Amino acid sequence: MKRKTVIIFLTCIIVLVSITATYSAFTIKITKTGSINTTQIGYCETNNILKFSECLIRNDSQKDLDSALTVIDTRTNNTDLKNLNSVEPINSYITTRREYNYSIDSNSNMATSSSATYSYVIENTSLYSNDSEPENISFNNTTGRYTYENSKTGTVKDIITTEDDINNGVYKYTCLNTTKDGNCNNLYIIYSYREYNNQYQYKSGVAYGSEVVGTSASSPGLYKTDDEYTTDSDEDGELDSNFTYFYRGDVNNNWVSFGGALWRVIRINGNGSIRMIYSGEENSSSHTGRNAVLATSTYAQKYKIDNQNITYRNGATYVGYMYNSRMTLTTSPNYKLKSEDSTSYRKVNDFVTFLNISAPAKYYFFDADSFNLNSNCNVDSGVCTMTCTNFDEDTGIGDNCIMSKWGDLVTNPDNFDETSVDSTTTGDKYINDNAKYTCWSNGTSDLTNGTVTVKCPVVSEILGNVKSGTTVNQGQAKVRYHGLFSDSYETATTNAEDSLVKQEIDKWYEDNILNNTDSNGNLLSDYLSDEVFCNDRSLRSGNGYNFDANATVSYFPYYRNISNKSPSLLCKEKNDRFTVSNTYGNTDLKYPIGLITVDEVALAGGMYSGMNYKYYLYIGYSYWTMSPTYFLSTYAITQAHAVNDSGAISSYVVSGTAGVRPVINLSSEVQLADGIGTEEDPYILKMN
Amino acid sequence: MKKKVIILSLTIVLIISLTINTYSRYASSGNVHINDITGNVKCSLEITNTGNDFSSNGYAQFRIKVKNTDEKGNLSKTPLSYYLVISNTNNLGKFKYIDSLGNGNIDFLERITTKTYTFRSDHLEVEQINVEVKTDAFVSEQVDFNVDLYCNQIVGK
Repeated sequence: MKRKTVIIFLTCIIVLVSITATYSAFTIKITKTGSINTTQIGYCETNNILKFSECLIRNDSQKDLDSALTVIDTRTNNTDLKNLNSVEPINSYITTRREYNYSIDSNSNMATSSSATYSYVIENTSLYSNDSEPENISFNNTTGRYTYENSKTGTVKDIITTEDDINNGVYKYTCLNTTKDGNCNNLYIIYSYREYNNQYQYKSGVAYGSEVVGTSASSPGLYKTDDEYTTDSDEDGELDSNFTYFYRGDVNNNWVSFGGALWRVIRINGNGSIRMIYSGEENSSSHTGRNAVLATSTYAQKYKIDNQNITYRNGATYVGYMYNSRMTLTTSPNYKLKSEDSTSYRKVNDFVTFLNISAPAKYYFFDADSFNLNSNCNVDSGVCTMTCTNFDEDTGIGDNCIMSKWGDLVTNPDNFDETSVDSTTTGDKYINDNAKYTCWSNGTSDLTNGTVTVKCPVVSEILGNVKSGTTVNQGQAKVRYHGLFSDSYETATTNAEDSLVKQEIDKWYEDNILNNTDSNGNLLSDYLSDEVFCNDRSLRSGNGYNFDANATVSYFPYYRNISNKSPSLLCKEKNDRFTVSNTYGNTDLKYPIGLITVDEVALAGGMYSGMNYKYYLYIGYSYWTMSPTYFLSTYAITQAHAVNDSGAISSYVVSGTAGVRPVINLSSEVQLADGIGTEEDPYILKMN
Repeated sequence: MKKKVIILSLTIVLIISLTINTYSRYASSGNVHINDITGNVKCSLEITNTGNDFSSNGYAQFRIKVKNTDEKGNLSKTPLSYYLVISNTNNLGKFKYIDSLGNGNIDFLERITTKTYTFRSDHLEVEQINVEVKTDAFVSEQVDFNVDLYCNQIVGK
């Protein structure tokens, strides 16, 4: 019995020990304590902070000025402003799934040609409709983008998921692009399509997208960097005073009421003036979407010929907030093929590759005798004109032109001479003189009584194809341009005429600011400071006016913000610093009003191709910046940066349309009269 | 003798229950005292940005960062679930939290319990939660708070 007791006792001890050990492995509780000071509504008013720039800085952390600047320092030091490779705040996305089934006559916006190819992947299930995990498709919940691996490439018909496929557990997913890893915001399964307007159009299937559900931890508020006012006061080699303080992220305490409109403060300039962007009429029901822009406009003015707008504007000069329409008849690149000049070593592959070719589109091609630069192009009208007589719509043939898809011409071996001295392994010389010159789609065309008239600023002379091995690229052509170009970088950047976007802005200023007063009779224009608006046309590549260097004319804003992700608020060239009378700038402005720069958008939390629904510059509507992108040799088009309707930095053709949000600078002397800086209760200002 | 065995058994049961009870109260308090527990579950808690950030809604906010490691960076040996309890300790403040996926409470409360999250054990995982703080006053006030992190081994894993 004694032995039995001992056994029971030992058993209990073992049980006790094991329970203790097990339990200790099951649960942990950790407690931490802290304290935090809450915010004060109306901090500036309560603390009698009258100077508006000081109010903005101190309200950022609701501390005395020195402490508030320290908070901004700390926040800035935690952010690498020289490598802004993500948006702020970082959004959290979840996938969305919807089935689509378009009616027979609706435009699905997913039309394509039969010859187009796409990358796609195969999964054995319909994604996110059950618990199964996809094998090849990934969704990034901080970018909202889909990527895939093990993709294939196929035509429109190859990417259709048929009923048989579904029965066999085969679902085909595509981003509808050619990128190997997809990398898109919208992913599709396509069940059916129809032929429509000489194209294929997807009818039904499943569309996968994303929606924002929140943000990961972020630090909205003021940050600092340097601008033209920042100095090295103690001359120790480091900038130490007059920094600019800019808002970044999802801030909601930077709303200002001024001139009948609401504005968002972008930054406090280094001299204490305050830069802000238009955000809609004050009494508007909302300050998003179309309500947050004063107008929609093209950036550059369209040509008007015979009372017809040509939705195309050629030339480097049109990236200018002010431009110079003086053009010269030019052939560019201006060198010759070896067969044209036996001393030349230029071959087909040395010329410009034209990429803006739509596979299903039919273009007018004119014969070699139909075009002469001096007789067909006109400096005064700004266009080149080609005509073709006795054109038969049924056959697509006229006396001196044909209408054809480029794909039909480029795949016909009779049109090329592989043995020419001008041909190379990557391009054969084009020898069809019956279809030599074209405007592609960069102009207008008119067919009246059998006569075709085509007008555009730049005509392409086709010189060759682009090939890899024996495969000819059906979407590309080697060309030489003839038409109207600026004759130098200086000419292209001469601030002679107002861009259309500037005209819109100046008109708004005249109507709303120029002669208007506040409730105390002070002129609204007296609230404003004449600060620099930077239309940075400094060159990263190219010569700045044509394609003689066989290179796109690329500007530094693109390089800084898209390639390098390193924005700057310094404006390199005086000619690009738009001011009214401030002689640090060009003094070419009529009024102290302009546009935001792409650098300011990047500092605020925007990123190229990065959706951002949560930073203060997102309005759900696209709008222009005044930062040039490039004059693109491969399209012969000019682009400037814009913010698109998903908040991403984009690049738009200057003849395209986007919203206009003017920017003004309040004087550093402006004082706070009322308000707490929210949309509902914006800051109201007064003059001392 | 039988009686002796029963008494002995009852004593042991009593000891066990006392141990469990004691263990369930086993927690660090104050500012970052974490008792060293010999076990497979490892998690840690960090509070940052008290006083430097306001939320986009204009409230004072702090961040809580939870990891599946101990404070020395040793990875938890088992998957775990966890939740947080945030409570006011000076009868002044109310809280609202939002996690990286947008989950959170709708109204400001003096004591909030987050949803239950999970961590795997095969690699480092971090969850960041933003907590907005307000009082009913229009002036700035100091709000004291506790954050309790409860980490539990996921049974059967």
